Amino acid sequence: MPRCLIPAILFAAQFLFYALPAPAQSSASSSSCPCTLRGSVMDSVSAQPVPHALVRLSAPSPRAVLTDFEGKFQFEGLPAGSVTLEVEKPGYVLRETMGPHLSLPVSVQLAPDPPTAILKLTPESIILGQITDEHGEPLEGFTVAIWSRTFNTSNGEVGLTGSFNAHTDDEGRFRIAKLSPGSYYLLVNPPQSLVQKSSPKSSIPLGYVPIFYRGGDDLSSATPVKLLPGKSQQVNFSLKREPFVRLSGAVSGYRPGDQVTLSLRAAAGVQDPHIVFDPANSSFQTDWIPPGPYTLMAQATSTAAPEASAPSSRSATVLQMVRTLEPSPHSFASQQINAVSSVSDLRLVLQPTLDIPLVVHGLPANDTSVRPDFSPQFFPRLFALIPKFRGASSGEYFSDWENPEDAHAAGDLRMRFSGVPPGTYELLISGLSNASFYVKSASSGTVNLLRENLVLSGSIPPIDVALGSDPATLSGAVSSGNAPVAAVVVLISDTRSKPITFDTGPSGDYKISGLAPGSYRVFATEPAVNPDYLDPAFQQKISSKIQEITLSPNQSASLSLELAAVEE
Amino acid sequence: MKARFILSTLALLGIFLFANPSVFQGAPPVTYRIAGIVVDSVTGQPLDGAEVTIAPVAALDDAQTFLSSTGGRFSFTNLALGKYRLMASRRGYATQALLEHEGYSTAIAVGPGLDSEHIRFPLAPSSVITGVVTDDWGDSVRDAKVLLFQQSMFDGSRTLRNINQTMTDDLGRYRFVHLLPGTYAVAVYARPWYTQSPMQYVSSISGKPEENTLYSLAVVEGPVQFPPANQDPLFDVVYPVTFFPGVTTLAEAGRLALAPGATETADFQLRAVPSVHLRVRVPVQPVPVTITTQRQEDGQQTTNQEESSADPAQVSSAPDVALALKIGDGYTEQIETDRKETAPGIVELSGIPPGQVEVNLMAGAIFGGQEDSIVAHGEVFNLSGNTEVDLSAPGDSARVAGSVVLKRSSATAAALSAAPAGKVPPRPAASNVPDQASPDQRYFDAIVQNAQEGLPNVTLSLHSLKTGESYSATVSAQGKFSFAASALPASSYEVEFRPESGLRVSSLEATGATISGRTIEILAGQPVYITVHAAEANCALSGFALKKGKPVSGAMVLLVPQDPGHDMSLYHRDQSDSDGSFTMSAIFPGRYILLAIENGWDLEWADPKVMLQYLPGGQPLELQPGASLTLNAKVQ
Repeated sequence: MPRCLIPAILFAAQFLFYALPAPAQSSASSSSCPCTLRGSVMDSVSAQPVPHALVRLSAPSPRAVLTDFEGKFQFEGLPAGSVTLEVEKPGYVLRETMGPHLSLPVSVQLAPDPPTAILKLTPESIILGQITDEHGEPLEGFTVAIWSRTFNTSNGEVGLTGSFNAHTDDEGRFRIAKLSPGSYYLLVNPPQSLVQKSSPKSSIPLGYVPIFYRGGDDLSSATPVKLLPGKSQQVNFSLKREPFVRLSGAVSGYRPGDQVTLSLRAAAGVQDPHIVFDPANSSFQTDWIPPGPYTLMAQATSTAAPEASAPSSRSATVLQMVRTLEPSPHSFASQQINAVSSVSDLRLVLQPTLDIPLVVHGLPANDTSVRPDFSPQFFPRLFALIPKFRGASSGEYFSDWENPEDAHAAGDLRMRFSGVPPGTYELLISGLSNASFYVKSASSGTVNLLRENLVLSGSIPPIDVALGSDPATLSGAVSSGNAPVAAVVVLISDTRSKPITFDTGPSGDYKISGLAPGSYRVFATEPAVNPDYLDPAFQQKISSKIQEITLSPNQSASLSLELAAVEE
Repeated sequence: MKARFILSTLALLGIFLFANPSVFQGAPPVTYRIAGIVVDSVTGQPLDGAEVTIAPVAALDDAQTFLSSTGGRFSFTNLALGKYRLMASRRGYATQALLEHEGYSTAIAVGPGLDSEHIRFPLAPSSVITGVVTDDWGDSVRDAKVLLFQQSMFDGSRTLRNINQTMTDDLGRYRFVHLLPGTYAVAVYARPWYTQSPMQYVSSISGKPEENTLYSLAVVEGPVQFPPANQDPLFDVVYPVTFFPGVTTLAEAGRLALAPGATETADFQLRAVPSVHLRVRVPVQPVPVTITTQRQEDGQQTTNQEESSADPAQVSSAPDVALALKIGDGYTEQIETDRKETAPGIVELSGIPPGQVEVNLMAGAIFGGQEDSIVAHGEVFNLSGNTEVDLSAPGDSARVAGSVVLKRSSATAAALSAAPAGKVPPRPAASNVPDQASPDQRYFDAIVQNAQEGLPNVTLSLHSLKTGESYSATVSAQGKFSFAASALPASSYEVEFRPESGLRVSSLEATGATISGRTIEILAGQPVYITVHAAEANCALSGFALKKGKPVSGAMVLLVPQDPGHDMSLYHRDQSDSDGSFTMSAIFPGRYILLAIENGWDLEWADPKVMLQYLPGGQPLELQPGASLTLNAKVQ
């Protein structure tokens, strides 16, 4: 099973466009309502009307209608003011199905005799195909996972997300609908049970190997399939059995009595194989596994009694995420293996992990606003180290209190990263900006962690985070053709490697507080698009819509933004 | 050979019969061969490339596979004396055991003088049922649930049972593959897409225990004027459960006769109809919930002590109502409803399709730190229009508890009942008297205990002769049971153990109720304490199915109880193996008639009328507790 799966969203719809002129002064016209809103829904590709589409009006009170055979709809008796419309129909999608927006609502200002609203629906795309063996015989029960490139608006990370899964039927066929147009990566995973001995005498079993489109055993070697709206794309696979491999070796560099944990990570999307560690002779061995790239990891943890667990009264079965009391590994090793054949002499030498102190300065002793309800038994995920290399044991390492009792103490926040393997990391800060504060600087010695990565090797200077108490605020509204529109507002600063983003919601209004004083490039783009905002090509494309602003300390600035449409 | 899941035990017996080492003492090791051909069951043509697997019935994990070669031939050599199960599969054919019938198949016995080298393994080509589901406008219906029912012999009667389910794809298509030839029915359940909000998520009701006891319900049926006035009729619609071809009950459903290798089509057009509205009166007081942490007592307990004591902390949870749609026999589908609490103690639900609907009052519970929801009580209604039901107050009912006393036949160590055999156990300690301890608490204790210890797999059920409902209680390791979650409605009940319990009711005693044979009459308001005397299924029977003195393979061997009652667990069956041998175990002591019927696999053997012509030709026998009998069966 792929590691990250997002449940399929059933039906979703989006507006590409709606045609309305500038709203008249609504105050003057309010006496003329109740008004009637008429409109029609059309297919954005075929330009044909969409019958029996569900049009929902969410304000002032929720109502819904289905379009008629000509795709037309109307709402009668509406009061003057702003209404929000959404439309959906099976077979049509959102442009972005991974993100927070199930649909992209449109706001309409009502006035007497408003012109017809035209709502466009983007038809879904489909990937279908067949998987056969080397003799052309269909392969049943194989899993096809499809992955799409996503953009995380909260931290600006570009990533890949497994979104849909399908299984081949008795004729080896699969079909994945409900896809947004875009580029997708495909991975075929064979069923686990298909590992077979080629003959009773042969000792090496044969099996099918997970494969990415078009060939290759790793996402980095995969080719995306481009899907156009409303189009079906056929993708076929021909697989053949290959000899499986077995990895074995020894682990060293830990103390007697340590708890040693081994894990073997397969390529993204491929199930991690089982690995057995024998503490008696420090050796390990895997099952027979498909040849391919793997990351072998080992960590050692002291088995000395961890601090006494919190006394829990019998009735205290309240369901909460409580601070983990497990000790961090004191040493770690990882190794990349491209296993084309069996390897029996792997040597994993554990290296000490690092503990990195972190201090946050600049908190007035009497201000509790930046110390929300952090009680000592909870794990404050304020800071995270994101590994920028392959082979880390975790996707991120979070900071914890240096001393949990300090959680309520006044003054500097003293925190610590524990058990972090050597390597290159990015520092991610969340939840420390608000109307009163912003992160002014974050550094380790001379390394500016707002712009640069942290290289951990041996001991490093403690991380020092300074907060500023004179933040600026930027607010305004996003519009498209004079109408408010839902958007993502993006702020890019030369002093930081990450953009700051804000989701407006259907009103198009935004207010971003806790900004560091300084210069920003600001633009608003469609939430559905998922671009890499820092990509120079992307910025070039929308350059006419990018505004520059310099914010001085404590300033509250206002900026109206025109939506930068990315696709024609 | 017996059903696969209990094969190993039976097989041991079979091996013992054939492989008694004393017979072959001193002989050089002799090995045997199993060989034959795989053929298409329809054309008789040999099948190349079929995967044939054999496994000793004593060790089914120790399998070997052979790919049939030209002419469909397969062979396994160097086999030790014993019996082997054969399975075969091939693309286009369902995986089958040799001459498989309802989980029984013919095992191949190898040994001196036995021919195991001329096996003809007929493989039935698999069939397909496929179709398209469309809506009122002819648009395809995605993500509709499609249920497949197969007509099969179950407990000796021909019934349609749900065997599989799938979802339609984006084109509204569905496809059931690898089907054996036979008779099938298909049903579709879906909600109109435009009545579902994409923001609405399924509230999952997990860990629902099977035991749901209930209060009697006052039902107001007929037209009720309460659909919310503001509900738009356009969206207040549902699709009724639809059976092919367009009917609403399994009884009316069309039967699809699947020929081997055939593909049958069953298309559906769903018609939206107004939703049924249900108004449920629920207790205004929160339903008490018990949080239980198990504490193990030390081993030195006297027999009167409860096996564990819980340390409960009561919290309360607002009552909630969950609905489940009963589709055909034995299949229930949770219904997502639009629910509204219109007044304290009144819940109104819409989005309900007409049909058999189970209305359950749910209560929150926390088991070992896990939040869960369990059925506090429930009832099944046949809903055709707006209906009001009352789950707010208990009706005429009685609290029922008791203990199970096992008559031990020999030195068999029975975990059940600490009381001496045949004696009425002492009345339980004060904490166990039904009137005093919170019934809910004890009910939850039973569940927690069962879940945590995985113990005693004994379930007692009371089958109401008035309503047909069954109520179940788990029996503790000490033999105690309690229908504790709620009281039982006044009625006559037949007292039975669940078949998997391996126990049978011999006789009953009760205080607070009257007994007649295995039936108990429970009156309202009076607490009942039942003592159930139980017998253990510890007899065995084996032999050969013979016709004119010659062994017959593949015959249905049937053990018919002379006093069957409603208890199908008294019947035993086997399929005779290649040497004519059969074995049965876990039989209750008693009087039986042993039958062997050639080509008997289509008989509705649970129907006394059907069996009338065979019974005179059978052998009567009596099994004493613990007996192991060898008797040959005369094949008819």
